[in-house]
Amino acid sequence: MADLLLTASSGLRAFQQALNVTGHNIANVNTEGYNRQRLDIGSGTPQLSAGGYVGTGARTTSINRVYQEYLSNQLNSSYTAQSKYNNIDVYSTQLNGTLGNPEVGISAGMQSMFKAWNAMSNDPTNSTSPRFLLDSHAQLAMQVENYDSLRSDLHDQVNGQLSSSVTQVNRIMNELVALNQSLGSLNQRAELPANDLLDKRDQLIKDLNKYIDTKVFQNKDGTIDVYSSDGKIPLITDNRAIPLYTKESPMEKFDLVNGAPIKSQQLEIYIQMPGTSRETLVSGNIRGGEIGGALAFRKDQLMRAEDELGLSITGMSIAMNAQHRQGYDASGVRGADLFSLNGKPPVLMANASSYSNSSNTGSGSVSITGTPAAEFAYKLTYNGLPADTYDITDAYSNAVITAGVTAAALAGGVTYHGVTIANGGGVSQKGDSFVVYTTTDFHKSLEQSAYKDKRNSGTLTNNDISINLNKQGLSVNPTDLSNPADLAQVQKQLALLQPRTYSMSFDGSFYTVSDARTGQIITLDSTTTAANVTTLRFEGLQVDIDQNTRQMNPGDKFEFRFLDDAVSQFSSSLSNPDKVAYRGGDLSTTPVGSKPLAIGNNVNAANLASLQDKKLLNNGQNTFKAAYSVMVGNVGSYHQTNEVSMQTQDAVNSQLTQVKDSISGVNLDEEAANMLRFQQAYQAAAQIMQASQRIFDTIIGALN
Amino acid sequence: MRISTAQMNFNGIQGFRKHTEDLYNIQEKLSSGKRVNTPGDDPVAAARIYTLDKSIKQLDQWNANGVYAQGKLELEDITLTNFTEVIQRVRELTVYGMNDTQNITGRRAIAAEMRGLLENLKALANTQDSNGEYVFSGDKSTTPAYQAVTASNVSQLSTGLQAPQPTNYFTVGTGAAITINRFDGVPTTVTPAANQIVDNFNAKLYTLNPATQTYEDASGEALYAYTGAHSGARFVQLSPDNDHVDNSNDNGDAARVRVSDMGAKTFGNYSKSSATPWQPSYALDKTPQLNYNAFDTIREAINQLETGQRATGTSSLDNLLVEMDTTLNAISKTHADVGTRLQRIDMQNSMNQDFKLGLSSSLALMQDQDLVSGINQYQKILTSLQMSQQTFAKISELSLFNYIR
Repeated sequence: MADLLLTASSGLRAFQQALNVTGHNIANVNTEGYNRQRLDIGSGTPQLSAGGYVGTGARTTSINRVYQEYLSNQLNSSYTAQSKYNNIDVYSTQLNGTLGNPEVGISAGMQSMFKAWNAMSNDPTNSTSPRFLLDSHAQLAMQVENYDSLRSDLHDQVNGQLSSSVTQVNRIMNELVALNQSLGSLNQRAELPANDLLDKRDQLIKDLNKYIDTKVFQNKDGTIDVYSSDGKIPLITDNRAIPLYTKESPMEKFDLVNGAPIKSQQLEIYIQMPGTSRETLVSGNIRGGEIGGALAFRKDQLMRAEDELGLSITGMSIAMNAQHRQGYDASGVRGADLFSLNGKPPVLMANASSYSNSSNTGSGSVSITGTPAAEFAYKLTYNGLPADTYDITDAYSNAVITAGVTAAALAGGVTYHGVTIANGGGVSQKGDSFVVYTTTDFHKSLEQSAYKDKRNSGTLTNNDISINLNKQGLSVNPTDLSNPADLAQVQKQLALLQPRTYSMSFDGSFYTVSDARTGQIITLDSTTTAANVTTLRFEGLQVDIDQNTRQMNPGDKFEFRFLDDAVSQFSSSLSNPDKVAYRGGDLSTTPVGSKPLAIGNNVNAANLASLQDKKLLNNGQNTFKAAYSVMVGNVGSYHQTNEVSMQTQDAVNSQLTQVKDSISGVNLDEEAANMLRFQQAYQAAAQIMQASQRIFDTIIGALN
Repeated sequence: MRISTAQMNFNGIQGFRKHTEDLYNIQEKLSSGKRVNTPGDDPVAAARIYTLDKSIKQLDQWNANGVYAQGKLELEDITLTNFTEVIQRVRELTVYGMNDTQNITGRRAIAAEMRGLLENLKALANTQDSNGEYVFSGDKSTTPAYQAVTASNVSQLSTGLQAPQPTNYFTVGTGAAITINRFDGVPTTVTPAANQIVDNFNAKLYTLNPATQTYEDASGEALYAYTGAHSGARFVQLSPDNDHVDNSNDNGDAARVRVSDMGAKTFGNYSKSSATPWQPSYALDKTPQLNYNAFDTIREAINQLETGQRATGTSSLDNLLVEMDTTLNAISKTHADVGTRLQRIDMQNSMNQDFKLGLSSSLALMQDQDLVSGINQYQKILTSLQMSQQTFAKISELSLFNYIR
């Protein structure tokens, strides 16, 4: 027979349990990742008695969480995207914020430099003009350096975040493994789920998604496997965590002279499969979370901006160096480089140059032989008959080097710094003068070396590969650019430069050059090999691979960051205001332009000032500043696109959170109502107990 | 739909966040007055702003160049006005001296005044600008335009920029007889002594004065020659240039204005060039005259007036008057040219200003925040924020637990 007391007490127990669950819900109303729980109460097995089956009270069957797995998965993937875009925004805002105002920064630096060149052109003989000009060059170099330090600061921030995020990911993975273990042993009975542990695991997966995108696979034993990047990177398999770790990028570059690393390295993320020693670079695959965001920012915004800025700065430097070399300074010496793109000291050309002054009345000339050992610029002045001697003075300071060199001595040749100056024939008149000077190699101030992949098996070092402007078509190689046709050729190559970082691979017989960011294969203009030096020409550049002492193996990789490195090494290399080559070369001489025009001429300064609005870059489409504004526009549109994605993901995420909360979240009013409901039921069950007591008492009393 | 308590809070917080962010953005725009504060605000506009800013700065630069050119040309203009006035006075005096009513004393008095005026003219031809550059020396701007011929510079007086001259202005004497092919085609034989030079153009002799080291004519007046440049001039850019190249010749291009002139062309009766000797580089209106420059002409006139005689033939005062007219013509040509250039700068500057106005207004349109709509938006966002705060406060008061006692 059904026992009223037992029935009532089953109700009491059930409702107490229900109140417990309600209390648990209320207590966890603000717990992150908590899913509300429900107690399932069923009726007890009825017992057969006279007149039919009589119920035996209530039984709690299970406590379940109100949970939708698909919602949880969707929420995780939107969370990882949201966290990615949010993180990009943090970086992008910094880069974006520095470029807003054209009145400051590199753009303004270029503006004031060209302003100074205009002043130089207007007022070439004014002694303050070249000083202002060189100040403006130094200013520009400072602006570029400011940008460079911002750039490397952003790289450091990315590096810092990558290592701290990786630490977090590894910590969460370890917690997950521990949780997996306990769930694996507890979760044997599916009808009695360990709700709070499951909630905790879900929350950990969500936390993991903050840093990295994940895919979760449920195993039959209740444990889970976690993968990242669409299953490409295993994080937890067989309940073993495969930790991520950060290490410097395999691309490295060392200084030729002292072997020091040239630039702070970028960190990359690696994994090492348990039981093997092979490490795999995985940062290229990670798409989501803060790690994915930091990597995407570095690749798609920062490195692109570096290349684009590099194009503007490099193009400007090369064009201005080339133009400056067309002119002569006040002392009649040909202009040298204004800017250096590798921070190295200039390299002297193998031959010195000389000319007889245009104002000479005689037909005399000087000849020069020998390789200069040091930089110098001398002026020879003929004293006329009857002395028949020459005075040799410094072209800049007018300090006397040797006075009274006799015509006979000059005929035999006099040697200074390895250069022998001799009479070149003709008859000199009194007052005639000749200038002998050294020039530097145009290409040596541009040359960069490659980055080597550490994993290469060949012995070829980064310094065996040099990257330079394409020298093809120039009249002499290497050259001082004294031929005006060479200027046109240099400008032609400039137009071909692209804002790219290149990567090169070698398969044993062929070289493949591709864009390091997009992977696009670059068509080579030509590949030639002479004396074990292979020369690749593409997009206005020339890469010389010297395999005389060290060799490449098939599969070896190198990277060329010509433009990017140029920005970090950019410096103003002209510091003497007397050496500003403002006047033009005389086009009526042979060779063309080999003598300077008169002291008050401004042609070269005017031409340098005119470069400001000459469309030399991007296939003749852009001026230096326009190329710069392309960079600004791209930084801006990346930022804006990211902001839109961020807002979209915010909306998606909040929508999904709403839906999830709507299903799984605790509503206090509902819980209050439940509390009242269960409280009342509890009281009723207690009343039943009382009733049973009374029945018992009645019967006992009747017996008395 | 079931609403959980967390949802309610989330909604409220979401509202605050959004409105606060909007408020921050609009406040940034209103306080800077700019619609585009970073490239990300409007990337297309940002790139355009950079380009417009560059164009405006470029126009400013051209205007600054124009102001510089104006300064230089105005100095030239004033100098030429003065020069013309003085030379006209010289001409008047010459006509006055030619008058048959003048006796020798009168002519000498006139010559004395002309001597003073000649010095004045020499000073004017060697006018320097504020940088100390000689205005009429062309590219050789650190050398005076006209200098006395001295023992030390006589050999240099064939300086030209183009190519070495095959023949000099002067031949230094050795005591031997030489035959000069005169400008008028008459071969003349002279015998210059070692301290004399002979003018290869008109076969006149000048003697070295040991005290001053200058070559002088019979009356003791120093010989003056042009020592500035014969070609090449400074050009200043005023407007966009198609080829962005300033060529090293006298032509310049449409985008540039010439700011330097050559004395040989301005004050000369004649100039020499590289091709064959004694051909003018710059075509003059008149046939070549006897003397190189205005100073030679006036010196001749002074000599004649001082001797009290009137020479005949090529050196006659009548011929010298014609030469003075040639000079005046040449000056007025340069003068008119300078005026045209000044006018061009004015026009170009006002064109640049107009263009700049246009660019500035598109820049403003692109960059500046519309204040009315900005403030309107600001009000709207502020109201929304207040509303969401109030509704959140009200809703959070609602709880069933408040009623369970």
